[in-house]
Amino acid sequence: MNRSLLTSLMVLSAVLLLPVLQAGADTVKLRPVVSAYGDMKGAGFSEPEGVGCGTGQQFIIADTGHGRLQQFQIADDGIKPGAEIKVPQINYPQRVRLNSQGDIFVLDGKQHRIIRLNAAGQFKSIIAAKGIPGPVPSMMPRSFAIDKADTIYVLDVLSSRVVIAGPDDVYRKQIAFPQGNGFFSDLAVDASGTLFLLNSVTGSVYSAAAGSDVFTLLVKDLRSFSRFPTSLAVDQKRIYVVDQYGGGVAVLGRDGAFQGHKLKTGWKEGELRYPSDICLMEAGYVMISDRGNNRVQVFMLEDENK
Amino acid sequence: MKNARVPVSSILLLFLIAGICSGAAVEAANQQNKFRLKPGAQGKICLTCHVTFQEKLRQPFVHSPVKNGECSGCHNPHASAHGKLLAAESGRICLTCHDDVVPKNAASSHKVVLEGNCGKCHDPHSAANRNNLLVAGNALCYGCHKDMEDSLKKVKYKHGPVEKGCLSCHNPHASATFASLLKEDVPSLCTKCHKAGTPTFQKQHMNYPVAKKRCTICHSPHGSDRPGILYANVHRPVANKMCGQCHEDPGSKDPFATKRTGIELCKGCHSNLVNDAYNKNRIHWPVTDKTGCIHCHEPHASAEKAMLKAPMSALCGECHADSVERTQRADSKHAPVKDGFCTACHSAHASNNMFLIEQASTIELCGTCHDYQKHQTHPIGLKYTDPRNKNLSILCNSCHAAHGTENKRMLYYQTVTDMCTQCHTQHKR
Repeated sequence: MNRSLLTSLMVLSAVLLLPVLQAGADTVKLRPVVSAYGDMKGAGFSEPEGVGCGTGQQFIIADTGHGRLQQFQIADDGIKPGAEIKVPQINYPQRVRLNSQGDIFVLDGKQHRIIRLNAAGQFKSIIAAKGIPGPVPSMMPRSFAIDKADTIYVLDVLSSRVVIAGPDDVYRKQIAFPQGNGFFSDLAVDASGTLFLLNSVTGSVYSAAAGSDVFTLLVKDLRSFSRFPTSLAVDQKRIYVVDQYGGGVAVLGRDGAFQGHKLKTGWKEGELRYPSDICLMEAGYVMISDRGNNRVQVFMLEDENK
Repeated sequence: MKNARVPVSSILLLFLIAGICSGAAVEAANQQNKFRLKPGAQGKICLTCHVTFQEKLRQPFVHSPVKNGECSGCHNPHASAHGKLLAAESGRICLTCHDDVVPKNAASSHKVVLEGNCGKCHDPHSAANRNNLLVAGNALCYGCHKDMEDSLKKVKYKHGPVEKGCLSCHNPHASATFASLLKEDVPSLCTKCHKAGTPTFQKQHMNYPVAKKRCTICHSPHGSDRPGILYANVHRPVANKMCGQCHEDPGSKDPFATKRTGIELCKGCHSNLVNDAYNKNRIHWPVTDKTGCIHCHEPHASAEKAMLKAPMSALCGECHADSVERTQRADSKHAPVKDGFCTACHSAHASNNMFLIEQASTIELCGTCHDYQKHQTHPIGLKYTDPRNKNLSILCNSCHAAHGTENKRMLYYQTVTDMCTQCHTQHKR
């Protein structure tokens, strides 16, 4: 083979491999760190459906089957259980989120409402988005999110909209769900206020930039990568979609490009059974409510090639 | 008259045109007789061997190429890569002439046509029936649509045109614009016979302007056991002609508008069911949105029990497509799943348990059909901890996947050894 042909082939190979290498550099893995199985007394969790991450090292588990919340702290690459929170206003916690003040917001699946507790776990109020317009001036929350400025975003399935309320729970505006079939099951908001909306049935992800009044399609159909996507979280680089039936997490770029399906179904540490919720910590921790295994698992986001 | 002088160039042009024409004529003749058969031999030469074919030619309806002796239109007399020495694949050979049977971007197409199985309905040579059909009338259609034949035999009231012939309403091959091979869309297809303006029609429909609505919402187009060929299961207000229970007055501006939306409308009568659902820990989310009950139920009439919009498995599969598809692929299927009976284990509306399962414990749930004595040697129950996870007990779904798997007995793993050594790790080799 002559030298010029060889050189050409090498250049061509390099050009063809460049996107692969770039993608490889950009992908992540979820390294299992530890699992939370129960409270400090050793009482195990029952079908914990939700997990919310605080701004510091705190995270809170919605111990759904026991109708309570359990606080945790990250400590020396491990976890330390804190106080249990059990209030009469919460019967069946399915989602839990924290705002910048440490207030705890809980979606109660039985009563179909979001309850606000203070950082000590005492009841403060029921989120109503005061001044919410009709036709139905109330909400049927399926999920919710809170941004850095403590703005509350409620996925209201009754009126097919996302209701946005300020930190004072006063209605600000609403964004209608995109037209079409399916069912919207979760939403997430990033640091810049961009909202992401997940349709579990069609496997679609939509986004709406901060200030926008409409959702635009970001990912048309995730179902080749995720059997039944149910919840999502987002950071500055990626979108993480929990695959409930597939026992894993589909990782997408911010442009919606698929970057990989992480984890698998199973009982062992690092494996998931019917996971239902996910939250991210700034330090790189990823908490996944591993509902079918009665635990919440803590993972660390790491470079795939590490 | 003055002698006209014809330019040489014109003469040359005439010769050229004549040459081209004669060349084309020769080419056409060659195409028609591409096997260079002796004059008069076409068609007849095949019959010298295929003598029994004479009988075919005496049938009342003979395919034109056969009638014209153009056997080589479809068959290659020497050799072929396709059966019966066909000049092309059997599914495609008909399309060489009949390429227009399925319009481009047809809204619906007959499966057999798309599959190229023309021979399932037509005899390629000749037949006793028009269009070379193998069998005349509906009997031909019932060859495949046996369930339709069976149901029509049983039903008390048959739709007249069905008895006349399926082709009264359906195209046999495809429909360019309409679903279900229909010749026209509903309701215009229906109102050709059922004049909407007549007093009887209006009285039957409680003066609601239904002429522009889909008749098949309530009426079974083929037949049923109910007068008016209504579907087997009719919503009581419809059966009692009390449309106004749900809809605005027929004379109002928007007569079909419902008096309330979503579940609020249904709650008017089904309050116990709705309250019960909302008092449970978990509600099936579609119940809660503005579409509500009619995600799954027909509001007027349905062929399915509980007025479901479709058979249960298909209905649930509209959202839970992945579960249904995986189950279809499974070699060992759970019987209720196989039968499309999702509500054998799951509540369709609400439940206190995960996956909307009826019982709190899978032991109780599975025990409604299965006898635990068969597992008496293996500990099962809430008091036995799963060695893989201290927060789990040994339950039925510790080893068996509830819907089914590719493995025997719905086990998660291919072999029993693989399954058992998940927990009994000391025996793993």
